[in-house]
Amino acid sequence: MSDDATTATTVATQGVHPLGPMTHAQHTAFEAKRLTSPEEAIAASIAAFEHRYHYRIVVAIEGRVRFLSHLETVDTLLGALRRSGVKLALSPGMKPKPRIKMAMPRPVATEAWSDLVEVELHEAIDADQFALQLSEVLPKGLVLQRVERIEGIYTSAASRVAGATWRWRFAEDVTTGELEEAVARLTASDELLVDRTSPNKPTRVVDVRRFVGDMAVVSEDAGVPALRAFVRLTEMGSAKPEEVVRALGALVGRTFTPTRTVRESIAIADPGTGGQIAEPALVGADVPDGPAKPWGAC
Amino acid sequence: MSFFAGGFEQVNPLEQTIESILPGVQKPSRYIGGEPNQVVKDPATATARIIWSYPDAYEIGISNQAIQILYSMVNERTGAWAERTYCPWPDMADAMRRENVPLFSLESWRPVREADMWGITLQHELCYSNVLEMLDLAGVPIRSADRTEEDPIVIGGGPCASNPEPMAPFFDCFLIGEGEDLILQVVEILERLDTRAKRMLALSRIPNVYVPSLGTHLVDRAVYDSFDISTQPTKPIVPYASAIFNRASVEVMRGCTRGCRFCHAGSWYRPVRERPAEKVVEAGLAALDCTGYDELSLTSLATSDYTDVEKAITGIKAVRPDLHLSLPSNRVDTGPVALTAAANTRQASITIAPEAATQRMRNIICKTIDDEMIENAVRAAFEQGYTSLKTYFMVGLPGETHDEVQAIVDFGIRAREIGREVLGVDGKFTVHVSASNFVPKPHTAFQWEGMALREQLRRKHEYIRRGMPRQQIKLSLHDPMTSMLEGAVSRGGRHTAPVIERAWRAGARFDAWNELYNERAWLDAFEAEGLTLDGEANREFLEFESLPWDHIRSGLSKEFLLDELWQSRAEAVTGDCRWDGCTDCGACLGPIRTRVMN
Repeated sequence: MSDDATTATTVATQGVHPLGPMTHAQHTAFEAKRLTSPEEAIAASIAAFEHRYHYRIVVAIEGRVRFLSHLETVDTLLGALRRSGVKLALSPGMKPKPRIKMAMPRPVATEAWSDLVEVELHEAIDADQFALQLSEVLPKGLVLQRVERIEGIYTSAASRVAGATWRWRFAEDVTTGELEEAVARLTASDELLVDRTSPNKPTRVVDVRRFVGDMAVVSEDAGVPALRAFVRLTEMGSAKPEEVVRALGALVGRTFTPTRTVRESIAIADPGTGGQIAEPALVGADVPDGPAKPWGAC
Repeated sequence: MSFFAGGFEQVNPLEQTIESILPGVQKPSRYIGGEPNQVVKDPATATARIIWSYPDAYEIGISNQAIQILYSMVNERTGAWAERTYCPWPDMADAMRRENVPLFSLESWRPVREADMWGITLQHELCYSNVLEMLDLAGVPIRSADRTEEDPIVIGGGPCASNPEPMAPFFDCFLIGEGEDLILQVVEILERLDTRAKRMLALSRIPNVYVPSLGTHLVDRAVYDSFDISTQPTKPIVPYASAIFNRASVEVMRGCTRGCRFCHAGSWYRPVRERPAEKVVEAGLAALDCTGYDELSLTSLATSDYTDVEKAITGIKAVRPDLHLSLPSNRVDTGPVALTAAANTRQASITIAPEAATQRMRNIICKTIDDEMIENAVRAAFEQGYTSLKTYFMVGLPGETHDEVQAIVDFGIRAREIGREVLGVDGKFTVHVSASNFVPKPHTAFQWEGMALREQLRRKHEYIRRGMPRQQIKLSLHDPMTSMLEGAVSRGGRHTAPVIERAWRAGARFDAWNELYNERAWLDAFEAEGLTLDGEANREFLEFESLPWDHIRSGLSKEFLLDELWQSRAEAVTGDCRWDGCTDCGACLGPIRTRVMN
């Protein structure tokens, strides 16, 4: 502790009341034992900032936890990371924060099969060991798929997101024929405008067509129709999944109400490609049943 | 296989309906449960099903320590299954009514009405309308007299149970006092007996249980005299949604010897009991490990009075030097300022609560601090590097004059001067001056006193608002209207119950939330019962008059409280029994007395 700080504290304790819990001598002794001054704390956090190891966590979000907001999901993951015992790297400064980033916010009530979370650690750890520790403390519904160590120059996935593949299941009153007709009309159109309303913001008009890539109606063994679509994230923005569904309904003069919405995967462009990716072709492609098996499952 | 089959468990029709309404409500995470450290038991093998409730929004209720303690005790020590539910926000409540969804528990998403017992903590009077809202949503008859074998036994507790009469018709019984020992007796009764009538009879035989249907019988406050660390939750639930307190906590001390005459907790939780520092350190570190929090709070009514506070801080910091350690409710003194600084190197704000700004008024309320101590504390805070100083005062205290109100303004100006002396005229600091309204509470020395008139409070607020400079000072004043309601209900009797029911039926709920407070509903409800809100709040009780809560024995003798009232009128302070000898309040009995004296 600096001399100045000691002097300030000594001055500050001149008025200690006789009923106080510590005498002046006790207080001075206690001050001498202070383990961390603000200066030391900042210096320690700067030192810690220099030793950072990046990891990418792939996690499925299922069941009731899909009702968590983006920030709540981040906080929940952060709590799990702390409980797992890994050493999180902190940002420098007076109020250091753990460095954690999700590649793409997830709308409330939608599931995800392979959402990407990137975290910086202060101490390197084997990716499998990390996965083992984390999988034991994740709450129900957050299912760990894998953990990868990111080597080399780090560029966050969040800065390279090119889009996501979405899937919707609809109520039984929606037929495969209606969905196929809507998809055909959307594919044939040059522009498809929907209103975007947000609280405390003026209504905007969004051209959904510009952001929708390949789209396919898939058959379900339960006989319930489902739809898959790749939705781009560009410098001009993106379309929200519910806007895509609303636009489709408008094309056939009805309202499609999804009973489940899933973000199957997030497409990340490789560094140096200017955010360009080869978009997935969904028509005729294999249709995955669900998220990959949880980490550690046989 | 369906692509959803892998990710979803089978859901019943109620769960499907709940899931269908959640996307349309604010903060659906309030209702999903499943948080880390939540306990799920097999309903088929659980010996009894208990629901704990805090009658306010999830983010308020999840931070309540009492619920966490009782939840953990029942689930860890008994075969019963304790679950939770909180008061649904109005948008959710409306959706539930529209879709015929009954109030459900977070753990199992099963109706609360199916439980054996439903415990509701009453932490403040402004949540009373929410209790009725929850009962109604659950499909449980509002009044105890109308309940049948199909309904759970509805039990009230918490500090407001110190005057149960305003809520008496709505509860089957009240657990009076501290619940740690009591709850095990209650669970044993639920496990052993199978009918509502038998259970109620057995509960009524516990000396700390008040059963309103039996009339106003004498009930003693339960005291958890061992104050053993084992009841500290080992695995507290970690909320998903932002809670008001996002941190782990360890209760280091219960009770307070300061004897502030307005303070309900200071009277109700006597005598003082402390936990050993080494146990506190152990429990605190364990709580951090199993929750993932990066902040730990050492809680009590005045943590700087905790004997081993230095030892506990040092012990915790030795293991977790970067930890954000908070010490709430500190005394106004330089010692606590230094303690807070030592505990937490990164916090920019510090709070002190002088409560009154003149020596005369501090003598009246028995706040044993003087102007010099307050000034020294303010100076020490700025010298320690704090840039935000929060200070709390009360207006409308008994015997208050214009000078006391002016002194609050003077304090704000003086604190700013000190800040400028230490940090410079243009220094970046803020003095927060917060003034709430005095509300008399049962079982305190001021229980006989009336509240100030609403217009008086408004004029005092206006005076402070006009006199307080804006630069580097931020002023906040508590709305007199909700304070009046709190005052009218806190000292109410059985006659207040119909008012609460009327107000709820007229739309009152979440009265503690300014944006939802329905003033008209309450004014009309009082009028319909031939009362006025102001009249009830302003009412002074005569010293020889029977009080609605006289049958609840807190442990403090009425003679002591009366003596304290007279002392306040003589502007005399009573010493702190920790240092100045026993004041013979009556709270220390048997083994507790021995320990306190030692």
